Amino acid sequence: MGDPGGGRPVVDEDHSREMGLLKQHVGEMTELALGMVSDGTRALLHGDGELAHSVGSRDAALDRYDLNIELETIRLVAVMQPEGPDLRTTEAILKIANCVDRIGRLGYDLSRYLASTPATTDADVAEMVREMDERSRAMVTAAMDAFLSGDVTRAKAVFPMDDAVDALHRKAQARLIELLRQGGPDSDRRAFLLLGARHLERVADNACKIAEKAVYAITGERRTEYLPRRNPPASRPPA
Amino acid sequence: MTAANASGPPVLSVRKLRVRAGKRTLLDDVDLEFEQKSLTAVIGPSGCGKTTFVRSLNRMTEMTPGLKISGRVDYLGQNIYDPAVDPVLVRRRIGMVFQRPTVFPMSVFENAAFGLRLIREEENEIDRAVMEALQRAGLWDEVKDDLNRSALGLSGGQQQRLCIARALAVQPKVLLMDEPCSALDPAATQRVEATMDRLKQEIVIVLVTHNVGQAARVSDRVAFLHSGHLVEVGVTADILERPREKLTEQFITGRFG
Amino acid sequence: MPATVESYVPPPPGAELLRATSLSLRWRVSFDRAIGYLLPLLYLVALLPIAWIVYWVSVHALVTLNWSALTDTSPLDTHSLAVPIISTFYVMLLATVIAVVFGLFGGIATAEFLSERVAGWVRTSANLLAGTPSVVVGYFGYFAFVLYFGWGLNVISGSFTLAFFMLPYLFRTVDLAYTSVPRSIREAAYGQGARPLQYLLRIATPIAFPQVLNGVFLAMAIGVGETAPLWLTLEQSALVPTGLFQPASFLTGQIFEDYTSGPGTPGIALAFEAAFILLVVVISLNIIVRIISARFRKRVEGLFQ
Repeated sequence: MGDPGGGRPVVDEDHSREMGLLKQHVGEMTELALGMVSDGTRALLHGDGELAHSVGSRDAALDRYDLNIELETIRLVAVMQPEGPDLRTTEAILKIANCVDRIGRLGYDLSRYLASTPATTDADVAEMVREMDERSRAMVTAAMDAFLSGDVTRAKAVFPMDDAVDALHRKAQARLIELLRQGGPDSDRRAFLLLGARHLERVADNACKIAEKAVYAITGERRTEYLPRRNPPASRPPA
Repeated sequence: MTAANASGPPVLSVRKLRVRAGKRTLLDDVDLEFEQKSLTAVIGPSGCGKTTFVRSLNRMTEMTPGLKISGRVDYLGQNIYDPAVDPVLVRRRIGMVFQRPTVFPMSVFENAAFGLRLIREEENEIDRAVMEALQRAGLWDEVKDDLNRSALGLSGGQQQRLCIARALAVQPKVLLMDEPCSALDPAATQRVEATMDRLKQEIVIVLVTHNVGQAARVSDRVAFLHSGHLVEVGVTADILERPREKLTEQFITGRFG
Repeated sequence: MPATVESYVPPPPGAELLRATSLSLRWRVSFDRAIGYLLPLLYLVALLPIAWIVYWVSVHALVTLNWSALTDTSPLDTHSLAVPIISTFYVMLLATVIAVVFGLFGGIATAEFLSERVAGWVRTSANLLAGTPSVVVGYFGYFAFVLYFGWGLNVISGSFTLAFFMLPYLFRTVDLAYTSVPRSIREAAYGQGARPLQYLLRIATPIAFPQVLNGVFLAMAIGVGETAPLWLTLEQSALVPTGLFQPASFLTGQIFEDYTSGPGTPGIALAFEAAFILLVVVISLNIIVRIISARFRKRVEGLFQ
């Protein structure tokens, strides 16, 4: 997992090992955060209070990962005085850890919305939300793998995947607003679903940010012109 | 790290500089320009030719027998290797500070005044120039109480700053510094670096250093030499963040050299 | 040494850890200590001949030495060494001046201006000259100055010949003095835009001077003790010389002349007195050399890093 990028003779074994270990920790943190997102979504859709509680209990672990990664990175900077690709990787790690932390928190927020209410009955919306969950998590995994393996192509492939998630989000939003106008006892649940869908769209955004940092770490490019980040202002849900 | 001041033509211009010692080529086709009021760091692994390079900028290569130099080095538009040019005059305009402090066994004042006496400056001018030079070198406050004490009694860092003052006293437009902090402890190094940082706003400094961190701290531009070739040159932040050449990357990350 | 970790018992606190434990180690330590006492004794062995000579000469000379023996310049007096002393002084002075002139220019040229190849030849020549027996130098002087130049057996021939004998030592000293100016200082001076003459006057000579002075005194100590170069080129005289082309006597010649006189004769007494004076002069010159060396070391402390 933690190879700095193929083929270079590595002389300072220790720092490469530490760097690799650091990246491994970021990967583990990502697994944790993604677990929180997927479980949070399931909790939201099924009204599973126990699952929601288990997500909440993982929050502390997420925090610890974040702190440890930060400390390890700072120490590495002081000791190693990285330059070139090492410098970029170090900066990327800090930013990416930040994003992963936000992803985990989004999962946590998802889990809190419907603690002990029955499951959603709007099957079409649920399906859209489930798909958003899967796609956004796939984006995060892809971005993370790209970063850890130094694969620029894979990283850049994440950005177009955001379009699909955005489209799903708009569809879900439209549908939920339509349902909300009907009123009724399911309105609370639907309102929370609306928020939840937003959160999943944010997860996808963070995945793009991770991919962007991966590209930067590998190539040094910071240009963002080619990154489709936000929905174009023209497409709004019908009023 | 400020970008180099690009006003006006380059003060020093190196074209196809080639230095050979017998069959060995120490420097091969180096092209480089030095803008006004800038500090360029020349880095590279041991034996890459950086000392040879900087010494060829003021014809100090002539002190080593057997070196053949081709190409040109233009100082303010004039080739210093032109046969009609007197190397002594070149060295009076392009100053040099060496790796180890090289104070003469004289008083602090006489050391600083050495260059001025060579060009037969007037006495009252010398006094003023010495004070100014010692101030610019950041040494004045430490020696002003007794300028007549022997320079050999100064600490290493002070001696090196005295050498800088000595070089500055004749108002050179270019100052060549060959690893000036190698023999100094961290505190002395920091003071010399602070001096360099101030001076780069007044003159052109060419700094040879093997310390990438030092290059990061004080230089506007970095030139990377390897086996006599100029591999890459660019703004310091760029070179250190995303070097274009593989060799450069390997060097600055410490993977070799 | 204990075979296993468990069986190792650490020495009690305060035990001398440097006590040798194995037999061979103990023997080596004893031998080392013994040598330490022995070598200084060998130094005494080296000292013995000098001490003996000084003692022997002094004992015989001081019996007859008195003030008039040193100062009476009347030509008929066979008890006084005043004339040889003063003449030696004049001859030495002239020889030293000549040797310094040639040695200084030659040394500086070799150290600073000649190419490495030529410098090598010059240094080899100087070494050859240094190795030439004094009688050969004297013989050369006779043919060159006395006969060929036609100067005759007098002060100028003698001084030049003696100068030739002293020259290689001075040359080597000057060469060494100027080449041992630290290279970094030399580069710094030239790097600052010094011309060779400026470098020599302002930097190199002040640094090299004590060594050069040293060399002068050493050469004088060598020169004053030589017999052959002067013996073959200088005619003895009972008078102090008043011009370059006049004969003169000299102390080593005096000894040579008188040493075959029998014991108890005035000649022998003069020989011993002359020998004594020469010893005093040479020892004094050597002491001066040591003092200069010590002061030189202090002055450039920290320069030769």
